[in-house]
Amino acid sequence: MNTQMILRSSSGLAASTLLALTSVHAADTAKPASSEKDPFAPAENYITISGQYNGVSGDEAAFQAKNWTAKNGFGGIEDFRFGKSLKHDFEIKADGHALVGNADYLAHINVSKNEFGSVDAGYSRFRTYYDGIGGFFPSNKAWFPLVNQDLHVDRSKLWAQASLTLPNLPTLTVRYTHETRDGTKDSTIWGDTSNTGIPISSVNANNPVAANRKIIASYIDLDEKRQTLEGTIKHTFGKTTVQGSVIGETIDNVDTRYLNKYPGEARPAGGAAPAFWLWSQGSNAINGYHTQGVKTNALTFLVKAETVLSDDITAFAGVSYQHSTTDFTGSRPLTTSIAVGTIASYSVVQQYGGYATGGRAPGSYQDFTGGSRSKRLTANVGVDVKVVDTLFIETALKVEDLYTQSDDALTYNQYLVNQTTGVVTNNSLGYSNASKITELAWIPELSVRYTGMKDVSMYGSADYRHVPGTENTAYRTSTNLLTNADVTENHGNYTVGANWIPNSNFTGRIETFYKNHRNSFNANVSTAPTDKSQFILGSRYSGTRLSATVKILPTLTSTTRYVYQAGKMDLGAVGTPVVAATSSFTRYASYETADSISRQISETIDWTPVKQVYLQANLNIAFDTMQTAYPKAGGRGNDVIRNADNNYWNASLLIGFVVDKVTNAEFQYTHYRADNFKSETWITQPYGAGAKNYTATVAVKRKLTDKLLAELKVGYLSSRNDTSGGNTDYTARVAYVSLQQAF
Amino acid sequence: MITKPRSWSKNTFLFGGVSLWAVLLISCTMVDRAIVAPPHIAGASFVGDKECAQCHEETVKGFEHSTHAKLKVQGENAKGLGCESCHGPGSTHVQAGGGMGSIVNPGKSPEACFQCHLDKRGEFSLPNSHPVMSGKMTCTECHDPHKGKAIKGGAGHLTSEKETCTECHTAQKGPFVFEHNAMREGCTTCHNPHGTVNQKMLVQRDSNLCLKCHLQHPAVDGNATIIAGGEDHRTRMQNGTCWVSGCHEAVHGSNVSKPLRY
Repeated sequence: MNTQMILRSSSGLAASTLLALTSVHAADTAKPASSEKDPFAPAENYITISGQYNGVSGDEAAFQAKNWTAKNGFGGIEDFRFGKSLKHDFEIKADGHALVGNADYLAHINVSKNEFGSVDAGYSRFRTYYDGIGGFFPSNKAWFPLVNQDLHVDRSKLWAQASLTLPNLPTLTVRYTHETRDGTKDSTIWGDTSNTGIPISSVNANNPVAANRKIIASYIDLDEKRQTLEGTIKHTFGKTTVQGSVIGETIDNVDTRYLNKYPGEARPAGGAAPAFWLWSQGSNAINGYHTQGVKTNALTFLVKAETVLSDDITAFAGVSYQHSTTDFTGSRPLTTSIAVGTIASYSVVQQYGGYATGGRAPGSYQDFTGGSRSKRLTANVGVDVKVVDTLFIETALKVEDLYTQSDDALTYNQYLVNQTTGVVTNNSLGYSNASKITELAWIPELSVRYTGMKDVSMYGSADYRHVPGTENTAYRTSTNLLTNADVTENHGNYTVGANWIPNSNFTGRIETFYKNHRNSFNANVSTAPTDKSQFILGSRYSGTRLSATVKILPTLTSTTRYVYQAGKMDLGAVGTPVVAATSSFTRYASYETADSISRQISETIDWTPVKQVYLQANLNIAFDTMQTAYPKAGGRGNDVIRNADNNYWNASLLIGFVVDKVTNAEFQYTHYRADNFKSETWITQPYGAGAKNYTATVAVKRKLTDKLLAELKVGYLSSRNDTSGGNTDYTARVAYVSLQQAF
Repeated sequence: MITKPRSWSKNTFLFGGVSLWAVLLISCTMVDRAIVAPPHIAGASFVGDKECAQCHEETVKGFEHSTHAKLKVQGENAKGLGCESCHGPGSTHVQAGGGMGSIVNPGKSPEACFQCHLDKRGEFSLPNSHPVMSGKMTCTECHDPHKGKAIKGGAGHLTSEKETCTECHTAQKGPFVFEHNAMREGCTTCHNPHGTVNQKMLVQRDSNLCLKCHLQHPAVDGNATIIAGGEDHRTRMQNGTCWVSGCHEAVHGSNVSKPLRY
């Protein structure tokens, strides 16, 4: 649960009290049963100035990440709204906010004139926080977070739109947007360490220390920009409306991932060390980063048409063509120091890694350049038919033709170090990659709705995606000779459901769904059976959603929702299973890869025991587990895996009440608990997440004058995280104050 | 610097609880005023979709073909179903000739959506979620309740579901020289965009996430191997997840490595 939510949206929570009631007794009115005027009726134009102090004990980065707010707090204009009718039928609307500390800004203005047009422009920016954590080993409490855990990314959007809507003439719209994502966020691509206290558990005898595990925190620098310029013309000819758009899009991203492996470690020289140190043998500190630049230019032409053939039949069709080009650049230098001669002497190797000698490619590379060209032609056609007043049928067919060709070249770095002499041998090699993908997707869709039964509506929908295609690739070659693979997708999705409203006190809904997806891959590397890569990946998921809203008493409403989903996945063979050259396993024989089940039950109680008090309670319980290789792997295979459990429950309680004629008070409590942390797999990283969070706030809102509203809130937050071994626990005391002036 | 968190004592709850109830009891007996939290539409009643169409014709027309239209039921019991299910009773808004203060705007708060989608309240309240509860994002940025499918794109629509995500997450959009075929199934194969207990909103936080598609048949059941990509990954899985440094890092696609490394 987050602080900003607690301190800024409790009014919204309470609003749902009203809304939930309206959905049940729809025919009733929402008139307050009061003999006194409501002093808190929303104002049309206002400005809210607010500030919040956060006093955090414990991990400040975790507080920021979980609560979406700066560790010290924020202040400024929380909300501004202004709307006014001007001369000559013009209307102006403006809204915004500027919260310094949270770097949360919005400035938005809209000027419009009926049957003439409008101008809409704005700038928004908000910040998200990350805690820069890595993995945790309970056995020796190994924990390697980033030195600077205070990470954040700012997301901004600048837009301007002008529309001309003159009567009986085509509507013209031009829109420009410029979006950015800039900052540093954490990554789950964790690096290696030998300091886990775990004995070696592999046959790699070259590692004399402990087995390495990958729990070192890592991070990404984001520098992403996206611009779009869109022009649209729309006109209605008789009963046919036609819309045409041209959309230009540019994406310019330079993202850098920082890789830290074996920090603080240095493998000693001498002894039985081999003359050459290879990638797989090193446990010296390795620092590196991976930079990838992507520049995309895309141009899209879009035409859509909808025609009313009769009162009961509407037909539509559309065509979209997109052409895009993308340029790649990048490098991945990894640097380490390797002991030579004696332990006191180290030779710095600028580039490190190895493809040519069997290391995992690409360990280190440079001079990466390449590009991609893509064409996508999409068309759809459909018809919506009201067969009778109570039966609606909607059909559509979509066809999509996709062609993408990509290629690039790079230099894999391979530097071998003679530990005795310190001589470095450069074995770097240049290679290239390429791919060509074609797809022709056919997607029919059918939707039916029937409302002929009293108080009941029933509906069903089905869509089927059939995609024959090819996927040709060339990997680490000097010739760009593509291997061929036939790829086929067959995805069926089906849903049926019903709603029942027998009276004003009960609403019931049921929906069940079934998905059956089959993906076939048939690669022809050569004519030899063992060179064929053939498999089918299938998944079948089904589930049910049940909802019931019951007005138990005129002042008490219960809403319950239950979501159940179960599914299985399997990896099978195309035709006769191909037996691998090795004897350790049978390739591509049919095998169940996953068996999952999830149940989620949610409950909301809205209660107004007396007119001066409202109460809303929410409870959400999830049971979610998925089984893959455990326990059927057997033996030591079970040392490294457990089922994926994602069970949790969370709850909230909101109580609001009248204090005096111009004062309201509100109490809110939230609780979250996950208890899936499994540390018994001591040889590998623990499975599952465990955490316990709770928050409590008390708020008082008082109308100081007819147009001046003050609010004061104080709160307490606590977070305990088993997944990170308690290293990201925190408590916080927060205080918030706001003044809203209506005008 | 990490310091040991302090916790509340029983006295805190005892004192707080007693105080709360005392104030509550006093207010109930002293004040004759109802509390309905803002945004409150004082004295409003339901007017039906036809009234809304007087000004919002395009929106009401489009709603007939939206996902939410399938909830509409004929009969007096469902009179308020439609626009006012989410925007609240609209008579005051109609009488005022429009205006922001006289109608509920779900686009500013997820609470209107949560009244039916209660489970999403629970998911958005998890430690790893999109910032909807803090007001930095809204449900309508990814869903269109007024027209077409609530989950944008896919099936017979000109756009794909994936485009909803890659509009912001452009780095994951591709194209890549070497694609991860899971991207064809969609982002939700690995992520729950509403929120999960795991970092990056992953539906599983460990190797099971990958094994659910990539686990292959061993030579003999229970022979202690975990086969993926034609190789035994048991010892590699000791290191951590499949996408840790040096392994299959480029889970969304790679331009340099067919086994999906950066």
